[in-house]
Amino acid sequence: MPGNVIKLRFTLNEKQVLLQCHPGTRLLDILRHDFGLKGTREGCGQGECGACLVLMNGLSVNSCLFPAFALADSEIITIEGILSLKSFTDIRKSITDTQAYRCGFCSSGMQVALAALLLTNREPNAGQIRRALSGNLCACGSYNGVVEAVLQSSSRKRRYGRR
Amino acid sequence: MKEVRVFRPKSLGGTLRLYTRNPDSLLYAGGTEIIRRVQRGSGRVFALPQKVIYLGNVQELNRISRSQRHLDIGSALDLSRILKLGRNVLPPVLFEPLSEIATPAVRNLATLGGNICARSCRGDSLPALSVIDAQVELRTAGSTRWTAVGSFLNRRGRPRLRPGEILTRIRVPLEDWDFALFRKVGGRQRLGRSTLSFAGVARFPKGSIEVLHFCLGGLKTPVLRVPGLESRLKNASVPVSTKLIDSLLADLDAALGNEVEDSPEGRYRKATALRLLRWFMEKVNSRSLEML
Repeated sequence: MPGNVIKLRFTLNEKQVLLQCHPGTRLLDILRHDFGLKGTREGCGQGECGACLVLMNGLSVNSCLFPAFALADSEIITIEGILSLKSFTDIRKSITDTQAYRCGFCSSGMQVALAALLLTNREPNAGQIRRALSGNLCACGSYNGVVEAVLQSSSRKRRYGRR
Repeated sequence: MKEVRVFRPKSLGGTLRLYTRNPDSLLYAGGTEIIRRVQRGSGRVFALPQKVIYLGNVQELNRISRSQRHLDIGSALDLSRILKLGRNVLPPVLFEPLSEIATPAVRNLATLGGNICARSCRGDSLPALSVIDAQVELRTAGSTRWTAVGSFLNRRGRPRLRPGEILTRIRVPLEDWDFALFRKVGGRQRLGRSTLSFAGVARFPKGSIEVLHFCLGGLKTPVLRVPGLESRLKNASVPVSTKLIDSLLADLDAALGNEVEDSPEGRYRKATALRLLRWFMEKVNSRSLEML
């Protein structure tokens, strides 16, 4: 597609990457098809279900609503980054030490939403967790289990100082 | 695949000059509304127009400044960053609708300028901004003008912008109100025809109403204020008498005649608008009793 290609440099899971693509390509497709990061899922494709959430500069955004041209110089962390990077070790313990997620389709989006919350607030209360998850649809209804799991993890940290 | 040229200006001056030279460009900041319109299905690229001006790097449009009397919010600033200022800085009547818009992840992208200009967002921040007499700054490469939020949109909900003009700032007055209320009824998509929002503020320092504003959003007129009704309440003693409230509702009923369609949704919206105004007046009355 000559003339339609832009060159992008951005940080993906703490690594500098360079990409050539059409300016209107969705970030979701870039992650899944160009980088093979299939943990970011496509649900509604309209920014309502939260299955495609990624962290952009520390904030959760819907990758299905994000075009490539706005991506330059940003820092993207996907669910794969949250589950493997050293800098997310503490957060990982709070959001994955649970059997709360059921079928698992929404779990990556929920974990990204929770990571965004825990980056700014290490000991959130139930209301704050529910607000953070308000953009994630879960057909199995695992919300209460997830909220409980994050709360338990926070209280463990408070009691035993585990990090 | 159509060729798309993306401009990424860094200064407001550069943006305005660029827009004057390329008036057919799409101005893109948060893009949450635009992107839904240009989606072409799963796994496909967005069908963008040929020229796009990306506003995310324009510093002047992405900052917020506060003086004693008002808050100036850049039109490309995302809603999350505005909400971080909190209920104590943002007028509560504005904090409420902004915090209810979409999801946290969408609020990290969506901008206040976009929320004002997008037709599908008419019931969100517009009534709240209108009720506190907020203004918008509109700039071209050679001129600047301010206009009230309420008169920024035409009757069809389109922004009244001159060629080459960009919405650059939103000026929010920081006044103290004794009571403020915002309520949005109904969803925005499938239930769109039954959506209605109400914003009201009142100040009643010495047992009588000094100022009372209310505004309805989501009707045929994008933001509906009825100054005649507001001024009738000026200097009325609080608690406001039932008789005065009833006559106010009767007058609003008449004013809403052309604002709603003669359909079940229209009748529902009219009845809801009247109920919301009654509820607001009752809340003003109870607040005034608390203040005694």
